[in-house]
Amino acid sequence: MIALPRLLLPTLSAALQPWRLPWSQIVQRLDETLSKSAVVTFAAVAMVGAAMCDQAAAQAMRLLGEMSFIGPEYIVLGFEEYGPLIVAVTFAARLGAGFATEVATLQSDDTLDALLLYGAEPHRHRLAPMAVACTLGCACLGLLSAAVWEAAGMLTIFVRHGVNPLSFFRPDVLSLSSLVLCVGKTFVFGGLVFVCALTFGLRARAGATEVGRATTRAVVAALVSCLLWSVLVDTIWFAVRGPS
Amino acid sequence: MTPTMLFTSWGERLLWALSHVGNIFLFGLRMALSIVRFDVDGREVLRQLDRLCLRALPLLLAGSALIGGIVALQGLNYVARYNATEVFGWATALSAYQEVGPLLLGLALAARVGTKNAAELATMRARERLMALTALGLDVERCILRPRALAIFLCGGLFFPLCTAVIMFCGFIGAALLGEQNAAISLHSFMEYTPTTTILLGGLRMLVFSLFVGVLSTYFGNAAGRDPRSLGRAVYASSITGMTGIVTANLYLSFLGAPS
Repeated sequence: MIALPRLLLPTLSAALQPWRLPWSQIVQRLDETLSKSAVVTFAAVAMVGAAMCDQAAAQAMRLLGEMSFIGPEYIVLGFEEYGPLIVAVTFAARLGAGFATEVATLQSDDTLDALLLYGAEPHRHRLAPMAVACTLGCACLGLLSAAVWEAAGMLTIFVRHGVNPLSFFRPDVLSLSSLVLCVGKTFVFGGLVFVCALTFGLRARAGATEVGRATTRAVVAALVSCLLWSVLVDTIWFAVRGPS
Repeated sequence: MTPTMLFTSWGERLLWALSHVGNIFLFGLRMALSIVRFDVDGREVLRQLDRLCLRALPLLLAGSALIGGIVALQGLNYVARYNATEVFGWATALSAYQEVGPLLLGLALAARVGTKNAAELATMRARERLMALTALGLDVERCILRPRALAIFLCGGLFFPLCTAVIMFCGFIGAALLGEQNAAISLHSFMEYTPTTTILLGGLRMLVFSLFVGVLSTYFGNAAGRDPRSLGRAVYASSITGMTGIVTANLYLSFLGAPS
């Protein structure tokens, strides 16, 4: 168990200086984060977006008899609220669970301790590059997912309600602040998922049972912290900017 | 890689995926049949309900409070933009009962209860406890697996009213504190405009999500091997398939519930 105190803070410290980390490792982790998580993330975002768009359109037709205002509201939700949130949930389930499993496995069979004793600096070569990949990867996925969200909404509104997708697509309502909010939220979501996975992975003790337990705790902690961060940012945003 | 090797590799993966889908379907079917025939260990179901689900209640309630905050902040934007104070309660109820509420609660259930169930079963499999029970002549599926899946399924239905009440309460209080939206007007709007079908359909949605979580986490936990990597993989597979199942079911139920 020497790895927890000797690895947690050095890893976080190394992650704050990404230019000192090995680039090959960062690229490898980015590949893992982006290309291997993209399909699951985009599929989840598209399905949630399509469901929400369909429900909003049905309610608007039932109550008001028209759905012209759905397009502008939907795109804002995709960038500012539910797009980033679904990315965070998917990221926690996909990457958080995967990374926590990896760290917990290395920790439970004493590989990290062995690497530390040999002076191999696992925090620089193995762990910290994931922090860079998580934050950058999550921010990129957040932006791309917002586009997927909008595309899913356009397809749904066309197929299910016969509305011209181009009249539904209203990027003019987006402001720079929407993009900043999307990137800012997802960047921190990525960081939170990394910290939770690392902390609970490093806390795993010896034995096979600890790996599953560490993974469960990491996913739960990541999910709660992402929800908390989302509410916190929204509250501050609402207080500063007022109703959008 | 030659085309033949490529097709062989794809074919093997497809067969592997299809065998899992088939096994999951059969397990779900056997569970449903056992419920219909009352062939369920009721005491074990209650025990698992306490162990797995009741202990997850604080997390689900905390998650519900946070979801309530998100719903309130979203609603306040619309209230201000469309001067729609009167429909805030209805819109919050729609989000809490039918849209965001069941979806995020289902995902929280998958993260907390589903992964814990998968991890415990995978551990039992790794330590050969399930094999020991089989050697003693016990039917593992009847004694261990089905009660767990059933407890998680029931957990969704039991916690849904409580969690959505917390979402509504936090939504109303949050809107009153942050945006001066009168809580009494919100409550009146909820009582006046929300049809009972919205609440019932939300409950049904949550039951479907918890069924996915119960069946998938139990299946992947039971399918684990003995090494540490296999345990992690079981939890990971349970987490990913649970989430995918929930978002897919959410889309299907939305299309089913809303006429085009």
